[in-house]
Amino acid sequence: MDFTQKDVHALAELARLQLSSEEEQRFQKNLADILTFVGRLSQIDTSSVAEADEQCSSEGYRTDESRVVEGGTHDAIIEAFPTKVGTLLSVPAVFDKPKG
Amino acid sequence: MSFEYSTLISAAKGLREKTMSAVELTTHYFARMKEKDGDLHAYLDVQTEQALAQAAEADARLSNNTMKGLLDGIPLALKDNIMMAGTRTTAGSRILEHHVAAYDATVTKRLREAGTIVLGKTNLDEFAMGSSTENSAFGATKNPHDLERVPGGSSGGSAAAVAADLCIAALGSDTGGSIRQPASFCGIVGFKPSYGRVSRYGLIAMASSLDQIGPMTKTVGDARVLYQAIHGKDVMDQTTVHVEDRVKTFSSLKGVKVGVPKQAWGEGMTTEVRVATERALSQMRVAGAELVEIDLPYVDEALAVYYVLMPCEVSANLSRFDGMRYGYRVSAGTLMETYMRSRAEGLGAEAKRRIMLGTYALSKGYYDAYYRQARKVQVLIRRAYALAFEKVDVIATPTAPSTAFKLGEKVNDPLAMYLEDVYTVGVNVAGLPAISLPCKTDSLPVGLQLIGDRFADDALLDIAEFAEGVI
Repeated sequence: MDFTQKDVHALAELARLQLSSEEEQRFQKNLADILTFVGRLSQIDTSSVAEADEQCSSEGYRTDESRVVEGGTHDAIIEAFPTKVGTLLSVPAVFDKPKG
Repeated sequence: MSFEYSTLISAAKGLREKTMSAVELTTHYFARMKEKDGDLHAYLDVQTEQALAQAAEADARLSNNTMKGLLDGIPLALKDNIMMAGTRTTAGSRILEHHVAAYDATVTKRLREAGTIVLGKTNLDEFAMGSSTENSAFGATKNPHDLERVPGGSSGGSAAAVAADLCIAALGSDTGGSIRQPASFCGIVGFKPSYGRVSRYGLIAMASSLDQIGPMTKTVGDARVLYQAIHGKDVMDQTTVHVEDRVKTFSSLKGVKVGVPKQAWGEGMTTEVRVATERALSQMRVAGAELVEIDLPYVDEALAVYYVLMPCEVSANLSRFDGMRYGYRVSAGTLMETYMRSRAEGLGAEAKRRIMLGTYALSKGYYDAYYRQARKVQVLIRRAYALAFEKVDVIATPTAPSTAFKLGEKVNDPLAMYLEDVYTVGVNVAGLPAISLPCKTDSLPVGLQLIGDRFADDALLDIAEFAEGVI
């Protein structure tokens, strides 16, 4: 499995990770090693496995109801915000250059 | 009254016979931590005030005869990826260094309701990714049997705390071997229940289709008591099921068929592991167990399957750690830069490696080759185990290929570290229950792994308890 440093850079961007050049070089080698190892799976004949067999079964679905959480939990969630304005979560603007 | 190396069951008896109080027992553990944990670093946080208050409540119940059950007044430790409301839960990561849990995990809630005392939170590899606890952002835990060696991982803090008697018992989590391998390295019992037996609500997720919470204890009997308290259906975790245990009862090892897979007992383990585990098996045979050589085709592919499926799930599960709603945020110029720098500074090398790997395997053009193929091989592995369990009651393998290795020995070689899981991952890939039992050795601890059929957890614990008495 061959990886260029450019591939690793693009992958890091998809994964929302800023990597140093040293990290990019290290991961370039690590990922190639690991993918070579897991590549052995391609040799296995899986023709006996039907698509339905691959599906996860889930037996415990519940109705997704909105619930009012207890005051303490509500406050703890707000307390955990990295930045807030009053009781509101503060986040950076989605658009880099908002219209004037 | 000596508290030395109390088991859960002996401590429960002591509390009832009033040879000790819960406050005395709790105070004893804090004193031991003060003495030992500076060297070991098994705990990340200790909850002195809260634990002593819980102990006083347990003592009050004890004195007016309203005790709840065996767990009432028992001091435990929780791996720090299990949430406990109002206390810090870091998952061993810088990105959650100051994160205070907003609610209790279901297991925490159940333990509280049973009257247990939580002494503190134990160290782990970041987000439970690792086999040595060296990936913790807060420093490695040491093995109580040899301070130059790792305790195993990722539940290394829990394993070291139990082995050094810094708590009665602990909870860990196991995605590829993270309860059993550290149990093996530290010489304690580690039990991973069947997938679907224990709710993971409030467990910080690593790979959701594989994660399972379980007990780490001094005896199988203790593991059973803890397991009984935490297992069962929970509406907050849709994978938990109410399935009756497969009943097959034994009154001793007599007649128990133990499968010995030829794939596991070939090359690949050190001499000390081979000597200790083979001796354990022959002791089981002397006690009446029947050893049956079995074939487990495809199971030696489990590690490769694991290193595709797990990183895919990691990349999805860890996408929530982006500095927005909780955790560490680096405020940068744009939203994208904020995401990328928060994650870059908040996450460690192993977490990044797995996120990258998962992102790659799930990307367009590679999904079929990696993820789908791994899912198909997973089906073949499940079938192989199912076929084997038509003939045997349990399957025996070593828990880990070696005894505890030196700190720093494998930390720069991810593939060597991954191979630590070679005997344990198959169990997670197939959703089975398995337990690591300490074998008799002259030097460092060695674990024997017994694997049960899916949802035959109680039968596995029965057999493990008989085996514990003879190995």
